[in-house]
Amino acid sequence: MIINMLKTSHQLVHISHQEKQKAMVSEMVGKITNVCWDKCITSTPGSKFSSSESTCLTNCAQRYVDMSVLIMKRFQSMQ
Amino acid sequence: MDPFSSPAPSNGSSGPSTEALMDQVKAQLAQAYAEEFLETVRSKCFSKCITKPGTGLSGSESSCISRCVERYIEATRIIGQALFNSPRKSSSRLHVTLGFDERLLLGLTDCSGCPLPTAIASR
Repeated sequence: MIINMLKTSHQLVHISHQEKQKAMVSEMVGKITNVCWDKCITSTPGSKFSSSESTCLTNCAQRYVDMSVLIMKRFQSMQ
Repeated sequence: MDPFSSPAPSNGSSGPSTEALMDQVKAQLAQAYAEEFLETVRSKCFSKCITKPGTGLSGSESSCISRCVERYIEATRIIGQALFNSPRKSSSRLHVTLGFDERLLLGLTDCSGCPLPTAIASR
């Protein structure tokens, strides 16, 4: 991940908390778009999305987050 | 000078050299995101539009690629909205999962400081 560039470099510049969060947000949106495009856009791209395609993208993003929450909980309960 | 080294130890306050360094870091981040985004778009659109590579790009392949780029940018916008504009529920789960500040979440309809692709998608 790009954000690891910031974490691992031995630099003296202080990256603000907000900058880190913005970077994480961009990273996450990019990752989810990547995954959900493959799941939802199955045919040749048209000049606009069908309503089922855009609904699928929305659902996909939210289910991805739900899954992340669940995984975190499972993982923590195993500690 | 190496952009990641500082002329003097940083004390966290924004003197001119610290600010210039921050701008440089932000610019590099934006650049890195732009490149990553472009690489993703290339990969997606190649697999969707170029099914049998010929000796040149056909008209239909070219228009498919144009549409594909537009659609991918739109998909990015839709995902951003799905996560940050809608019901408190998904926003607050993000807060739990990833520890995002509520203020940042609420401000994200117009993420003007965000590196691409969120910035592209919200134009």
